Amino acid sequence: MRALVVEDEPTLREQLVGTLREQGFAIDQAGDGEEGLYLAQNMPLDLAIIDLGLPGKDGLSLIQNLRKKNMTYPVLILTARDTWQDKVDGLEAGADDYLTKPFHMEELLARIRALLRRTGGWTDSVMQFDRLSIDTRAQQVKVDDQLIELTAYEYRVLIYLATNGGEVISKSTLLDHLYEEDTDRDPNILEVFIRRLRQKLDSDKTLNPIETLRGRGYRLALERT
Amino acid sequence: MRSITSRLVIGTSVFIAVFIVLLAVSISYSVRERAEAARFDALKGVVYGILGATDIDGNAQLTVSRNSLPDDSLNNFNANLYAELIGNDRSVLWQSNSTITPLPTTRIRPINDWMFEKVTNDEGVDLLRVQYVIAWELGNGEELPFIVHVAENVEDLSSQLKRFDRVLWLALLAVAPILPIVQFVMLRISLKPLRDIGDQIDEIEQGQRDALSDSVPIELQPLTGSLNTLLLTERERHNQYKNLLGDLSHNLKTPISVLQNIGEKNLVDGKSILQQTQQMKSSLERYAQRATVKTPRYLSAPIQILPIISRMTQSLNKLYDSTAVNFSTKVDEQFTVRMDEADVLEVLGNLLENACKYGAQLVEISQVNGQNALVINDDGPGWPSGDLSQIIQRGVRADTHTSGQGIGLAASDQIMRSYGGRLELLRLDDGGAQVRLHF
Repeated sequence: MRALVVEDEPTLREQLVGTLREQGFAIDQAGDGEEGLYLAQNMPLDLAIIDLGLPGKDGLSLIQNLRKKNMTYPVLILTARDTWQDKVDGLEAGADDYLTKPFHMEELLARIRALLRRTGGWTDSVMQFDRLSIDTRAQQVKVDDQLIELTAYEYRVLIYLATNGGEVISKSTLLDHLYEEDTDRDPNILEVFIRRLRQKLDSDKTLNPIETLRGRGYRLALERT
Repeated sequence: MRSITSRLVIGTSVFIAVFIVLLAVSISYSVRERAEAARFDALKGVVYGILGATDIDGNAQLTVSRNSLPDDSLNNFNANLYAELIGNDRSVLWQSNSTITPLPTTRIRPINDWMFEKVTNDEGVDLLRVQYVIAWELGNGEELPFIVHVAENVEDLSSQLKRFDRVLWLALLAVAPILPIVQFVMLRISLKPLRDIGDQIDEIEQGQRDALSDSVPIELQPLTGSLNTLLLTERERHNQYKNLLGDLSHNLKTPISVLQNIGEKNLVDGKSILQQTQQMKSSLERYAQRATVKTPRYLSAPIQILPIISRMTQSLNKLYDSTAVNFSTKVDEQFTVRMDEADVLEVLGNLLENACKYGAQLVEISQVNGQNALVINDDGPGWPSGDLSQIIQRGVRADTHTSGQGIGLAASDQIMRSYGGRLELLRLDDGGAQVRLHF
């Protein structure tokens, strides 16, 4: 998953970026509204966390602009402005959630997970696909109730395919949503992750969780239950 | 025009100027007309007199008896009165001695016609002349028509009238400026109370006064009354903010000190840091939330509450999963409240969010018929046991262990009270909670 963090206070921004990276997010970050808007409109994001009191472009108009450009990923406002007028204005501008400072990092993460679930159409924190279940809160993957150990990147690939339901995801899209800008990205590495996932999730070759469509990409081949 | 005085003075001056001109013109005209009419009357008398001195014999020979003329000056050479009798063929049948220069030509007019005219003769002299056409009956039944033409040199009259005009204009022009001056003075006197109010406001700013004096003209009493109310409210609000800020900074100083110590001594004490930040957060919630009233009541226009409820429920559906909580609104479009929109949002936001947070599935918002009140019912777990009237009070007393619910309620209650309303908490029969907002 790829997330944008727009926050002008450098220490707080570092904390946010650090925590989200620990959670497996690829991060784009900005300290002002102009750069934030550029990233919001041009990066393949799954989520944006936006502060309202920004130098340059105001946070609210940033959100309005990115919605006008048909960016549909969830937006969470993180701000010190705490009146209901501010909250209603922020949500009407196009945000999906609103968290006031000071805040607990745990609460932020829980809300982010909830937003991403809602995008995928999930109401529960556990994604259930036939024999495969993914607990997004605990970050645990089970097949037939057996816990499967996945590496960080294997988990991220699985989560991305799962959140996007039965959609076909191209290699380049997958790379965009998994890696930050300046990392070395060899598409072949995805083939490695997919192969390893198949090995771990489907040891007896009965599940076939991931389908390869030549020239187009990968998709999660399991039905939601 | 930016001055009441100049408006009035300039307006009146223009009016006075026009009035004076019209007055002078009409007086002058009347006087002239009257004078000339009198002269014409006299000339008419001369015409009759001349006719009386005229005799036409059997041979249609016309003679005028000098001694019988009505005005003896007609016999003098340097008189101002001239007379002649003109025949139909324009022949001069008779001329008075005084007529040494020709008179202006007579006009052809019908029998028995009187004509009065003001003319100038060849030498440029002003004359008033009368012309009467008469048909003299001769003995044999025939008639001899001729014109009696009498004229008077009125140069003296003209110069008299000119002198009169001059005096008239001078007199009126001398009087004319008086009215604007009087107006100006009266205005200065009348507007003095307004200047006084200006001075009093200066004194208030400098701290020499508390309020505006109420010994003002009746017309200004609403103004000073409202200004005094505004002053009072602003002063109270200022005090309120000052106190809140004072309490807040006081409460923040201790945690800041602790954190500072931790930083200075490089103590890695996560627990203490969390404790102190929690303190600071509580202080913020307690004091900062209280200072949220935006506009005083008397300056708030009535606003519809239904759109605000809609915005709030839509926003809450985004914040709290819409499948968990349903909102049902039964409020008229015409239900209005005299409050600032931001404050209404704050009140409703706190109350409705409480319902969402504490496990309600259906929240009903409806109006109370016959009262200026709204009711919010939820089917959640209801109020905690104990005295309902204390719940809001506990929030007000700012106990650090008060839940978020209490603080939100207290803030909403305070906002309602500052607009002259209040909150009422009730228990529903089925165990749910009701909040009644009295506006």
